[in-house]
Amino acid sequence: MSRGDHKVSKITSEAIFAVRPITSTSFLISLVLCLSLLLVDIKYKVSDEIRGYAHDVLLPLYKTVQVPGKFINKASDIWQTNQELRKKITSYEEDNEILQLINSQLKDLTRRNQELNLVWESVQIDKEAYLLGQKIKLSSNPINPVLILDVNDPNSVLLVNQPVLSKEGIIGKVISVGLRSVEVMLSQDPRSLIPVISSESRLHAILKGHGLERKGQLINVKKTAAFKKGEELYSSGLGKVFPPNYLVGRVIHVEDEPDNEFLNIEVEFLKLPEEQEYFLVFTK
Amino acid sequence: MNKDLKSYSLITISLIFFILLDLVSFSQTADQIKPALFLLSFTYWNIALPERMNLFYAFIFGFLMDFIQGTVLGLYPLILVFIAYLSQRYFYQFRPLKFIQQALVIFLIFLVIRFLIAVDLNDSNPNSLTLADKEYVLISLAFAVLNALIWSPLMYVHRIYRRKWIKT
Repeated sequence: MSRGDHKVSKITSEAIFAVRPITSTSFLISLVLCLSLLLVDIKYKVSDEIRGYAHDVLLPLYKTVQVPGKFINKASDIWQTNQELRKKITSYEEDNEILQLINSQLKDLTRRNQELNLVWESVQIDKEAYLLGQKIKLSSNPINPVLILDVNDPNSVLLVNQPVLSKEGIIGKVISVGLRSVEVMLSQDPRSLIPVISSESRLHAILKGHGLERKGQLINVKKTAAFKKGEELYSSGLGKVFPPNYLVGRVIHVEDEPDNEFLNIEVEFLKLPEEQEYFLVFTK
Repeated sequence: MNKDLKSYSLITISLIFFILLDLVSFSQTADQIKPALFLLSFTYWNIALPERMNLFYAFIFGFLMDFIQGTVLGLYPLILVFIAYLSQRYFYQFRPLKFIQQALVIFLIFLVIRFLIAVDLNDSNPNSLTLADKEYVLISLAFAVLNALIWSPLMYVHRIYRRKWIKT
């Protein structure tokens, strides 16, 4: 047995075959290495360059996890009776007719709006500007919510900072791009800042996130500003990251605190639909 | 197969299995408080087979967790290095503890981990060092309690697996 493999008891002089734990030196070296990595990543955002590719590698893991859920959904679908499905189809057909009617009205309204030169960017009706991304995973960390999307389109031009939309409006922006996976920073993220304009008072502000399922805040708003409770906030397009006129949230609380230099305005973000599978990446 | 290689592979397989379980998604609130099975499994292996666990595991799985959780690169390796060191340094003291005492230690470790993750490393909130609010603290407490409660059954499952497959 080599020297250093065991200790010797000072009382009985017998060998103590103790397992050597991680030595303090290797622990300290590891600690320094981890802290250096942290500092480098915080300062230079190195990981943003590789996160997308890492998600590409991890895609089989994510897909494997989804298998039981999909299997359960399939099984429950099979359990549904044929009659129930027929009833559903009938009701959907009725809904479809109503929706077609509404759609035709909307088309007409859109045409009128364009004629009236109301705010309607041409890019909003450019279908090629949007890429469909399938939700792979939503990080459970409430103060660092990250959405991972699978954009399986070989012709797609995915770039960092492209906005991501749900069917209601803006939900975040791309922060890392891989071969087919993208990591999305949600608008609720504490790092997220979105320039917005209010629907009624037409005032500009910056909307900051505070974490998943938490209220956002309009920052640095002067006390003379006349924001109203209940008014909707749309992206203003300033900063040229987010396209204008997309719904971002709703003002739910306006308070003038005596010890605060600015107004305290709380905002409710768009609900992140848990059941929603697909999101749009705006590429232009 | 080489005995050592077999042991390492079986430990790795169990860790990957628990990562997969951690990835299973429920509702948003449930996801925030569900036990971190991978971290518990990692702790178990460091306590049960310290001679088989080294810092290589902490780094590889730490990076993996950083990518999965979207945290700053290096945060999870740091957490795992700490868990590995503490587990291997004090496993003689930890093993004979009663389950309730072990659960208390696990509760404290996981509470600290949760608060460590909440540190505002990106300086998103210049007025505060942490992103944790009252709600986060309550959720963290629930998370730590659940981890402490699940420690004993998980340890039994691991023990059965180790005795059946991993010969030391």
